[in-house]
Amino acid sequence: MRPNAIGALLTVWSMAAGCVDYEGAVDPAHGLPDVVVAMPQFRRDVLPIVERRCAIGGCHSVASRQAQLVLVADSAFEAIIDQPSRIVVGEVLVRPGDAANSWLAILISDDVVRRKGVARMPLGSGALTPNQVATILNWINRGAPDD
Amino acid sequence: MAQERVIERHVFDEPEGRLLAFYSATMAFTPGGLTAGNGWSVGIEMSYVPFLNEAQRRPSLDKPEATNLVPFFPRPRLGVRFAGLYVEGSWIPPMRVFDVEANLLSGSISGVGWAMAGWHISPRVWGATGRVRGTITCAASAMVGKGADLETYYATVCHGRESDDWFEPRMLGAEAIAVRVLADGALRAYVGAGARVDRSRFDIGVLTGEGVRDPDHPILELRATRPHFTLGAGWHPRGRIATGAELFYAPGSVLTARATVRWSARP
Repeated sequence: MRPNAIGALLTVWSMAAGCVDYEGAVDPAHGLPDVVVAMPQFRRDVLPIVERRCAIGGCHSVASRQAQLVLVADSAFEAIIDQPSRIVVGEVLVRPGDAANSWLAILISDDVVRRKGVARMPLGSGALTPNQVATILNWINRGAPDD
Repeated sequence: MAQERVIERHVFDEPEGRLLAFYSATMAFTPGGLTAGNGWSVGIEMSYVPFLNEAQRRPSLDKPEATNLVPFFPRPRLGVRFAGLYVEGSWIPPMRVFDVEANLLSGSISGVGWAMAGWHISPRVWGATGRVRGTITCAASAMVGKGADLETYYATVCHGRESDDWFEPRMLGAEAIAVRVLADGALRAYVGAGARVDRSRFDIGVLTGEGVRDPDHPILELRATRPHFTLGAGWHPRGRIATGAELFYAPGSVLTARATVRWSARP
């Protein structure tokens, strides 16, 4: 057999054997707790979700402040309570005690109609888990306290 | 004051670490199918880069990154034997191939070694560094027209521009190569085992509306020391042309193949 033919055979054989040796990450909770908290506290149960999923580079960090909204730990609470949406006129981000009419709660939901054409948040990445969403709704419905 | 870029360090077991380690492993500077030649030699190596599925391209379950840019990784090789050492180098000049522009430098030194039970065992050290540029984080082809969410992401987070992302392999490796000479010297089969220190980086190159890098996005850095293994053979019957192929296995990253053709100044 000619050397070039051997080389070609080796190459074809080798290419057929190539593969990736790892699986993709499967953690829809993003390393956060994935349980419904019935009586959530802002700093213990809600803020970790906001920091991990929203206050990241390019999104609601101090530098990027998409939709003029900064959700880092120091300012997240004041930034959302009774504050108007900068995207949809007339919407309020968090109405304490009224999750159903809080724009933040609507934005993280799957309800396309209620989102009025606005993309679901977090943008461009996996949705919050149903348990994480429920925890945030519970916090709003218990009056959205700064606790 | 300008915002400083954050360097996010990731270990191998994190999704970001796995993705970084995968791409750096495909660029490891192994023998590539051929053991040391005679005198001067020049060659070209072709390495296969397996495509990643969507889940494998999701660091931390964020959107899948457009990393499947190049199915093959070509690398010229220049080698010389002197003073009992075999020194080999490679430089990929900044040319655009497929959808990436690579500017990579690699080098290795193989020692004299020793004979044992019909095998010749040589130590080998190598390094690889440089930069591969491509549009990975913000690729219009992967976002525009692919749904409202991704379009909004492209318009806002990506500032409506394609990104200029940099992958920078930064590796030092060492290995032992055991060679068995067969067929009256025409065939050299080898197995190798070694480890590499990997500090490769991925610079997220989201561009602002002004066309400068958005400092709000971090530079990801791998912090890992990983094993690897090679199995290959070189075929050099007569004349100046030799061919070779190699299987390269980096556990937890990739099993890939390399093929090399080389021309030697001396038969």
